[in-house]
Amino acid sequence: MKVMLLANEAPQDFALRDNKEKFDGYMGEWYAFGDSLTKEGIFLDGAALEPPASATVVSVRDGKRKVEDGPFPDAKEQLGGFFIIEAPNIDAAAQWAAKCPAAKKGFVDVRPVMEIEGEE
Amino acid sequence: MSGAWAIAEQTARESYGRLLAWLSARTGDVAAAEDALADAFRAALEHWPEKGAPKSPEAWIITTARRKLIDHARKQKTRSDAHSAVLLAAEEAESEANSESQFPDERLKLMLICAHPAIEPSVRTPLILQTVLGLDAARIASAFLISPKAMSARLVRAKRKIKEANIPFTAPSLDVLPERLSAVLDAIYAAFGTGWNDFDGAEDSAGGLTLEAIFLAKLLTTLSPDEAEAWGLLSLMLHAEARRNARRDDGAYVSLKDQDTRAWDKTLIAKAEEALAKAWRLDKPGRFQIEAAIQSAHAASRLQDRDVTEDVILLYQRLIELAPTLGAQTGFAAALSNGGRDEDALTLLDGINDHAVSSYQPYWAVRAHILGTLNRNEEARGAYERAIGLASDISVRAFLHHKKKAL
Repeated sequence: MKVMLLANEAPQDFALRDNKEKFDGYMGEWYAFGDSLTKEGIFLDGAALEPPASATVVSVRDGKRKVEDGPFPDAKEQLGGFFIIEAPNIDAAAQWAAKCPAAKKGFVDVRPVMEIEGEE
Repeated sequence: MSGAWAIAEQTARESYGRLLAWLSARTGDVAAAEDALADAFRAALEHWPEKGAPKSPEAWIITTARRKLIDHARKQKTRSDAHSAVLLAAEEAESEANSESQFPDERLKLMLICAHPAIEPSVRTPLILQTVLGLDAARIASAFLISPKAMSARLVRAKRKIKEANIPFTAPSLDVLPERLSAVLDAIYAAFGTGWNDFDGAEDSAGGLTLEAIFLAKLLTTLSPDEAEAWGLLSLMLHAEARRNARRDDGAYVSLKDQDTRAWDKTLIAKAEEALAKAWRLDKPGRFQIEAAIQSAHAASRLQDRDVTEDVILLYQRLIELAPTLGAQTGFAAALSNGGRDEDALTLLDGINDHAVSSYQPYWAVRAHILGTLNRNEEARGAYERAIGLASDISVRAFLHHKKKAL
């Protein structure tokens, strides 16, 4: 099964991205995690996201488009990136999620990717 | 005619959990396995009375259910992987079912899945009751005091989670097995009732599925005989069950020290002791074994006229080290009070920092008793009122009223 790991980072982790001294160490953990997935041959896709403050929220109601600044509070865990991996089951996926750097202070959402016949 | 019905009924009663566990293990989809099994039993009730029951009813049911699963998989358009997996599994199912009527018992795996950390804790017990014992949602709902509709919806959601999250039907690795087994034990104990209390005026086991819980614990000791806590839980529940008839006299609540021991079920007590001895031999102590040992001490105090006060205090001390639950702390306070250490008992109760105290009936019954012993009658009356207000059993309320009046 394909599984998406949604890395929800804690505010203090997001803060490290702006910390000149700690930035390399912070990113290093992510690179190491990504490399371990690749080495295992289960990495399918992944990306880091700009912090929540960069978010713009778009919705359409009654045919009217609304574009707003993302109302994401700084005090909570927010989506900071994702990985899509190949895993035999939830237990295996959860083991990888536990190794994700976001799991230590934030949390990782483990979501099976919906499979639709005819798609690869 | 009626013979075929009886055989179908017997197969359902004795083999439902095993059949479902086996089918589920091969498809990873409990809900689909349930549907297929229900269809197979319906077909059995149609065919067997006419043509006679087959030589191996279980194999017949398995084969029929397998066909239903294939039909189901063919109709499933969204999951190509699941489709082929089910077909393969079904083929395997046929050959196994035909070659011998015995098939591997996968009920332990099924229980471990029901108590998987990805399953919401409050639905684990209902899920085990439904899948392993085949109880219907309405029966389970009545034991858990929620509407059948709500229970049904929660069970459906949980089964969907098993399938969509792909919770595996494999034995968990050794490092997580103890934790997973402990979740199964908690789920079984939850079926027994709200917890078993040995102190006066404390409510227990209202509406629990006690016999079902005992059956499941017994099953677990068979499937996982080296699990000391499974034996401990079985022993605890058997001790509690053995005294059931003596706990009420003409509907009135009777406290442990006044129970007529002739009404105790000695066979169950012997079985409880046997289970506890098996647990100790495994040399892996745990909370259920300690709780069973406390009940065993109480039984000995009455049957052998032994003073077990200090033993019980020590056991509660150990229990609190292992599992400092509200029930354990309340029980410890009751044990201290019983040993004449009411001041210590009150200090302990005052020190409990748990908001659940406000609605925990046994806490107030024990607190009232201790305050009464310390001649703090005004406060004792208040605590009795609170305990009475929280009690749902009319005989427990009457007992507490009586104690309040006697202050």
